[in-house]
Amino acid sequence: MQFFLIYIKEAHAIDSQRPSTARGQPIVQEPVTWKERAELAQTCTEALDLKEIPTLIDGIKDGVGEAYAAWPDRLYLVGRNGRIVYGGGRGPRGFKPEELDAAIRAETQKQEKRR
Amino acid sequence: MRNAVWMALLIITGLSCSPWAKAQEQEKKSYDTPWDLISAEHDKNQDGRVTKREYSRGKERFARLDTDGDGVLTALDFGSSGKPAGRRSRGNRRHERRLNRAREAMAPKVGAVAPNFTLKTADGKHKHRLSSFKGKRPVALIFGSYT
Repeated sequence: MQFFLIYIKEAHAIDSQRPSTARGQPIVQEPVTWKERAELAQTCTEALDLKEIPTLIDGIKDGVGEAYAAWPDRLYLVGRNGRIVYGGGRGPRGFKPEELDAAIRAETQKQEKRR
Repeated sequence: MRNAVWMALLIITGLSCSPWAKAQEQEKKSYDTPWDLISAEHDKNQDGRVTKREYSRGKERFARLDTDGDGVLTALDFGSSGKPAGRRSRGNRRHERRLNRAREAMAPKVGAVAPNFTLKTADGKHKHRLSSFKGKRPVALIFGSYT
């Protein structure tokens, strides 16, 4: 099983169309270069203690985020056959780790049965 | 293999809601308000105003931040709380809903071939290609950002 965090466009950067309004929300500007996005991703994964999971940075033109309709956040499981096994709903409401968890268990069991 | 899966599951299930939302609790705050950030980064002559010449991140973003439309950014554009006032008219919200529906329709569905990608890690030292895992192991993709 391989996990990747894919760091995409900010959901509530202060210079975005949906600036943050919640108390305690990180105060950041939308990165304008890949390097800025990568630095922000490092700040984020350090703050969240998520360094165990490899983090990949989307291009500044948001190509991968758009291909997966991933903004503002979303979960997927890609099976061994390269096809989508689970596609979560659009976050934050549709962001349901327990559904991904169940999909991973089902996929893992399926593989074990095949052996 | 099984241990690796369980470790990964523990990490995932530990993220009880959006993992990115946890950043809100744990963030090391650099700025108390958006205006603090904007003035610190862009008010080069420290006169309490950010002009278009001082702001280097594009006209569109400047216009978004200049909520009173006077051509300069000041604390007033961010309201008494320092938050950007934003400009979300009813028309804008309708447009956003339409965009969201269109995006949703484009999301790859179960059974579809996962769009391939090659992305670099944050340190820029490694690249990962999704298709390189085909026939080897499943891949969980967790998309999100700090905010």
